[in-house]
Amino acid sequence: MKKLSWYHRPLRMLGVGLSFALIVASPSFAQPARTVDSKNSATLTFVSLGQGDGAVLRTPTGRTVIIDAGPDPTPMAQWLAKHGVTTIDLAVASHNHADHIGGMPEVFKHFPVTNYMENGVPATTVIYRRTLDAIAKRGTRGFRAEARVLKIDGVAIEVLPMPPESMRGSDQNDRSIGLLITYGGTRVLLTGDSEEAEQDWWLKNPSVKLAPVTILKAAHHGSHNGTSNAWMDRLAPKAVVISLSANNTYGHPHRPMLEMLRVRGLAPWRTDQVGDITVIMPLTGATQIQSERSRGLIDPYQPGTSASSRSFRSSRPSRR
Amino acid sequence: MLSTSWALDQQSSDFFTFVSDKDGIVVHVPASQLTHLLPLEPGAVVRVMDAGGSRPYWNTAALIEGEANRRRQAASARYKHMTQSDPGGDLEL
Repeated sequence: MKKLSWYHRPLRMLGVGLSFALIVASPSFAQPARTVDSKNSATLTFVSLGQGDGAVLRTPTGRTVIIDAGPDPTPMAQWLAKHGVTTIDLAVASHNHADHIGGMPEVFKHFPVTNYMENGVPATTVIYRRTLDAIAKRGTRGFRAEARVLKIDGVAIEVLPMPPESMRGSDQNDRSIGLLITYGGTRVLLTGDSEEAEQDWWLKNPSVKLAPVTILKAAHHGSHNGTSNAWMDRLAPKAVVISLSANNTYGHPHRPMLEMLRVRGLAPWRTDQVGDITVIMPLTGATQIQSERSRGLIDPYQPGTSASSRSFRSSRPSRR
Repeated sequence: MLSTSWALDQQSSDFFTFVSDKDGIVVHVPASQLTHLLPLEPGAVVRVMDAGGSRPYWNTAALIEGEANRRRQAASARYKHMTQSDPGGDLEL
């Protein structure tokens, strides 16, 4: 059993300056902070948790949804504890890779989960088995990933239909759950590690009515296969968030993806550069993005280390 | 010599990501160390010799036949059980 460490670590965000940006003509344009009407706003925070995904949706009354929990439980658990979360109303595993569900078993031990949804594509890892164990122990209600809308406290979470199993078999990435979160005038799309096969299926399927979004979480941590021109044309996001760690094994984000954003005038918000990234979704008014650390002079188009040029430390086990 | 089983979590063109059955540790293994096993199916489970779990010798990795399917079937049954009370359709939480 893993030793609990996050209770004993100092909260890492205290004392760190915040930066704000309004979603106006350019999402990269930093503006001074302005008052947010939190009583009438929902927030979606992309937690900086290393090379993986983990996001927390808070509704205007403080109900909580998590989408993935990162590779390690500590950052997500710290975030939840710091923000006074005691219960997770809904947890979604976009797919069952370790960098998305690795933190779940431990997080679920300490934050009871009322409802749970995953893609239904079983993994063979002990991490996946422990996630199911944690769910079963709590008597959590399970939801199938199918085209539907889950509403919580006025926030709509639209689940995109899953591609047919025949398309990619047991592939996890291309059977990632796609979630469109809508509140007020803000629309945020998260599609896990979906690659072009799944995205093309969504683009071409007449039952999936993809329309422009305010914020797009770049699929697959900014991989070249997670964002296509057709995908960007349809979604026309005003801002793009990438969840990843610096100097990751995969070389994320990939240069072609960053170039695609650059030519569209989009400077990505990257958790490896600015820490936690929070999208503030007011019932009325403009969407805002807040980051844990200022973007300052950071070059958001800096590609990751090329996997071909970095050294491996494969034979020594290491936590990701 | 001891051994540990590892499950393939994901793979890229350069390396494989495995999760240890023993403690859930994740490692990246260069594809060049596993050429004797290629191609590996997603979810494949292998047994690897090691010196007390501290240093797996990946060139000894051997596929555990049928283990991935067995785990998937068990997990599918659990998933079915977990979602059996899902009424389906749109829901207010």
